[in-house]
Amino acid sequence: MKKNKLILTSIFVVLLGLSSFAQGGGIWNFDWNMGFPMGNTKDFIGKPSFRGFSIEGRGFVTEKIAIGGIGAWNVFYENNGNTTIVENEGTRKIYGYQRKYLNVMPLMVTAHYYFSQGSVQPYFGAGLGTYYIESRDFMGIYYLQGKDWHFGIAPEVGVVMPFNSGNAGLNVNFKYNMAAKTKKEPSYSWLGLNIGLSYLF
Amino acid sequence: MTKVLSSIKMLAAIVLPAIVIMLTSCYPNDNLSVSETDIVMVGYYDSVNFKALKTYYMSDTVYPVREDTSDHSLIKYNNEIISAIASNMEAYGYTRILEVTTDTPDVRVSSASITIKNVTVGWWYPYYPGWRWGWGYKKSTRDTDYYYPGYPGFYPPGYGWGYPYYSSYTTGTLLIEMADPDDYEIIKNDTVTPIYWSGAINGVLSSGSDLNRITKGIDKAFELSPEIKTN
Repeated sequence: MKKNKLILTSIFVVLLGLSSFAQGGGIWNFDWNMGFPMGNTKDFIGKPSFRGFSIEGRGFVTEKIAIGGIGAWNVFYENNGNTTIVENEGTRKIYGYQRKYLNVMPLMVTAHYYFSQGSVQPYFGAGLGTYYIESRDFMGIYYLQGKDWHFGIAPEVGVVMPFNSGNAGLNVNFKYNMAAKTKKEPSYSWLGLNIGLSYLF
Repeated sequence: MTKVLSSIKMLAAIVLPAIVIMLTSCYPNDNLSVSETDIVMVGYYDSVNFKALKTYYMSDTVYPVREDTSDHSLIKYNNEIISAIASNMEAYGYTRILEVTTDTPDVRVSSASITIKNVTVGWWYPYYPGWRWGWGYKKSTRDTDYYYPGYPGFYPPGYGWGYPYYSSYTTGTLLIEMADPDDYEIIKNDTVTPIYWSGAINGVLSSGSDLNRITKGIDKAFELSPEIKTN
C-alpha cells in the first residue's frame, strides 16, 4: 500500500509538472467542492458536505484532450445529538452525543476531452488514483476511527465559461466520486458539485 | 478588463470563504459541553434468565481505581452513588441483602470508579494493567475495605468488549457490574464468572463531576436495560 501511495504521488507530481509545460496550454482550476453522499456513505453521513476545496492542473496534449492532476480536501460532518446505538442483537447499548466525520483527500491523475474552445467549453473526463479517507465516529470524546488509502475513480462532466476576453473563466462540474473498498475500510461514494475559477494559459 | 476583474472578484468571493472554512478544522464543531462528553454503555448476557433473580448483594463501597493505588479513601459521592444504584435495582424488582453470612444472594452488584490517566484504548472498558475485578463476599466492617476473593469477571462472547475507541483525555468512569460468583467457569485454569450485566458511565467522575450528572448517568444505564428487570 505504501508503494502504491508513492507511485501514485509521483505520477501526480510528474503529470502536474507536465501539464504546465504542455504545448497547447492548459488550465488551472480552483474549485469549491460540495459533496452529496450516496450508497453506504449516506448511511454513515446523510448530510451533504459544503466543506471542500480542490486544485487541479490540466495541460492540453492535443487540441481537445487534456491530462493533469488534482488534489482536494473534503470534510463530511453530521451531528446526531444524543443517540442510543443498539448493537449485537440488543445486548449492547451505547448512549452518547454522536458526531460523524469523513475527511477525504483525493489525489488523482485526470484526462479530459473538450468539445469546443469557444465561449462555452463543455468537457467530460475522469480522474484515476487514490482517495485518502479518514472516518471518525464520535460518541462524546471517544471515537472509532478508520483510515486508509482507497483506489478511486471519478468520472465527471463540466463546463468552462471564459469571462469576456480574459484568460479566466467559471468552472462548473458534476463528479461522481467512487472510492473502492479496502481490506479494512468500506467503499465510499458521493456526488460532487464543484464550482470555481479556471485560469487558462 | 474591469468586467473581467469584477467577475474574478466575484468568484474569489466564493472560493476564498471555502478555503477559510477548510482551514478552520478537519473536525468542525468539536467543542462539546461537559455533559455532551458523557457516555453510558450497557450490556447484558442474553443466556441469563433475569426473571429468576430476586436478591442481590452490593458492597457499600465504590471501588476506587486510581493512579495512586495506596489511596484507599472513599470517592466523592460514594454514598449517593450506592444509593442511586440501590434505588434503580429496587425499581427493577431486586431485593438488597445486606448480610451475606445469613442469606445467599442470587447475584452480586459491584461498582468501581476508574479515574486513571492516559486511557488511550478501550472506551468500553478502560484497560488497567494488573487490575482484575474482584467480588465482595462479606459486608465490609470498615468503610474502606476491598475484597479480592479470586473471582475475576469475564465478558461472555459477543458481549462487546475491547472496542478500538480512542481518546487521550483523562476521564472518570463509573462501572457497575452484576454477576453470580457461584456461576463460574474454568478458563485456562482461572476461575471466572460471566458478567450478567454491566453499565459503564463515562465522564461523570472527572474532576469537574457533579452529582446530578452521576445520578442521571446511573438512571440512564438502567433505563437502557429493561432486559434485567425481574418484575
